[in-house]
Amino acid sequence: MNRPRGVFRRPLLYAAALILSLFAGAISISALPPSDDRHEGHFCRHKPENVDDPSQTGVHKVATASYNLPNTITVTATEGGWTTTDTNVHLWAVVYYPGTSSGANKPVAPGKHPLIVYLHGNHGIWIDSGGNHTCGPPTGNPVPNHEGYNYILERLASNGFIAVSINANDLNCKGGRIVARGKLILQHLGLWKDWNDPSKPDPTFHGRFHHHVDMDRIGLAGHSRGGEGIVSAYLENQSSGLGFHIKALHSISPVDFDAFVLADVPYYVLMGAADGDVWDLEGARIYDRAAPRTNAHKMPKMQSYLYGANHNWFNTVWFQDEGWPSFGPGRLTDVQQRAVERAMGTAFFREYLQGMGAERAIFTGDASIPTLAPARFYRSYQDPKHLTVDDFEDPPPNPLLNSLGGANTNTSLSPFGEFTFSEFGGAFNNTFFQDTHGLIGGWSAQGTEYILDVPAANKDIAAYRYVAFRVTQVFDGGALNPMGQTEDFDVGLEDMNGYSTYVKVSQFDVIPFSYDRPGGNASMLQTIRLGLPCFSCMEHQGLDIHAIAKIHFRFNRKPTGLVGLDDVQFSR
Amino acid sequence: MRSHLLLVSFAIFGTGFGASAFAQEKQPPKEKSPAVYLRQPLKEARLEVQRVRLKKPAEVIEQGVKREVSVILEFRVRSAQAIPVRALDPVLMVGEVPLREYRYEDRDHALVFTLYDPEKAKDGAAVYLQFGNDSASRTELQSFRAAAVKAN
Repeated sequence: MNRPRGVFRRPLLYAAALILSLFAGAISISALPPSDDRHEGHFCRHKPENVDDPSQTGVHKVATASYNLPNTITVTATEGGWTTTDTNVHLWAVVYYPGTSSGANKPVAPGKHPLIVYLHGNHGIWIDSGGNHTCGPPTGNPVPNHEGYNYILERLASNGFIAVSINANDLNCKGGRIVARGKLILQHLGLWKDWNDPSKPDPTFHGRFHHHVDMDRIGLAGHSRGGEGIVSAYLENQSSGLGFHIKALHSISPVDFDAFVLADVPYYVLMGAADGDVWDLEGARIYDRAAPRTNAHKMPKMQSYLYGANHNWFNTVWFQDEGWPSFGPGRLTDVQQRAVERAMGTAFFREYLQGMGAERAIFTGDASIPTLAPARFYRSYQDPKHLTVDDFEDPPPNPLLNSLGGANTNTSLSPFGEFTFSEFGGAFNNTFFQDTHGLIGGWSAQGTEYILDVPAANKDIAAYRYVAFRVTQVFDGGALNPMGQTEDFDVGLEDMNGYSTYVKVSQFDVIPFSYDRPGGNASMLQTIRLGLPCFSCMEHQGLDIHAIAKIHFRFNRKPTGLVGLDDVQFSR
Repeated sequence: MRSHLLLVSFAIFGTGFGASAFAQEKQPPKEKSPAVYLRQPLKEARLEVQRVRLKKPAEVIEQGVKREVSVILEFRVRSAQAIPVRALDPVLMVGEVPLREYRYEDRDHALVFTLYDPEKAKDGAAVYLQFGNDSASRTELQSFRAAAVKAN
């Protein structure tokens, strides 16, 4: 594709803006010169306005508190057919909140503040004389597993949240306990409901939080088993009619023991590609199942696949590097990977609990956070407003028929077919850790193309802003995907008049080589979003987006390749 | 009003010029983090099986059906190393029977799995320990021998 003419002026303008920002100490979108429309030239991305950098501290002073109630509870939960009962479970947590001043037990800043609850995962619970974290015998020196997220709690509090991290030591060192973890979270939410209510006795905080907890805006976050525990809490809150207004869920490197399905809550999962514990990246399965076809338009979902990050270091108490010595290239330090959680977790909750409206751009790829470099993460994002052209889920598998009922055409792709993308056996599954079906396509000849027909009933796509799809390189030992190299191809739109225009994927995003680690590479689908103005602006004004007839995938940028493709959509 | 606004970057991996996100770690990292490699078999692992008559019958609820159990089998896996406490659950396979209820002992040098239906353990059944689906962590143990079961 030829570059639109405005592109050649823009680098100079960017450079000027950057120089200005060095003196001003700040940069904003509005500091950039006005563009021809609300999209940004040849990059064709929707231009967000005034996205605060979530890697920076917020405006509030941060106060702290903790509680460990004298009365314990009994948690009975059924999971996988087995019912477990855990007695003497403590209600123990640390709290960071916006204060009138900084420090321990200060008054709460005026106003109501959304509540966010973090939950850790499975880990030793006693510190022995050698400093080891063990499951026992009890030493009287418990592992403060819940304090490992203070780094993000503090950031959230500075941004106006009451951020709580609860201890689940009494559920650790035991099998499963995902549902039990969810129940523990709900118990804590009950405490906060009471602490917000002046009519309830409050021997713990003596009224400090009265009318300061916004119980209509609750977010949950969890790491490892906690990352699935929050999903259980959300679903049980719904199924049991408990009435907590949980508005956002964020999992960090979660397990997926119970195959829960989320259908109606914003969900964000962050995973490290160098995870040496949850090596099979189970969070990808939770993401894939979320927003199922029957409820595809009720929630956004987003995923960050962070190259070089391990499992433990999202928690400062879990100091061992379980990815060491060589669990993948480009390893991040513990500080670097926590910086990602601090920024992305903050952005997510600001967007979906505070309604910022612009932080979403960080998850769609329309904005990035330069201060997180050298961290590299690849994203998936599905907007609730989308039209699925093909998700490759229709039985029986037929790569020549798409989800809208249109025909698909294959020219020379080989191998070619619909497959299960899963770690559990089957062709091409030696590197996949997903829970979806998709298309496998390989090429080694000129003119290879895959074309999806858009039925006439769906021809007008003016309500959307992007062509979106998920793609990944399939690891094949270098046969079609050259070792260590990125892949590339063109995507085109063709209208009903036969006018077509193509863009090169690598102009907008990277399709990386599957993350290389001992014991098996890991392929991970990521979302590519190509702005519709790419196809219609400048010299391509002839394309009629009110009458789109076909989507083309033209594999002409690299001599060979093998990719997995899924969720071809028009999207907001 | 916050002074730092996000640079909207259309490069995928921009180079930063603002305040580093890494400089904000208030809890300084240890100079060198100890490392542990989880995806490998346990060192010097061995299996002991004990028949246990409970002093007080245990109530077991499986698939919603409640029953009382007074005799169980405990499969104790001992290792020369501390057995990792992982996100993924350890599962002991006794033939085709997965045991998922466990506890740690001896500063994590032993994992004790409970079988509430002793008759399900078949003489000669192969036994191995594995964390979740992580086959790299599989530790092969000696086969189950009914004659070798100890009584408490």
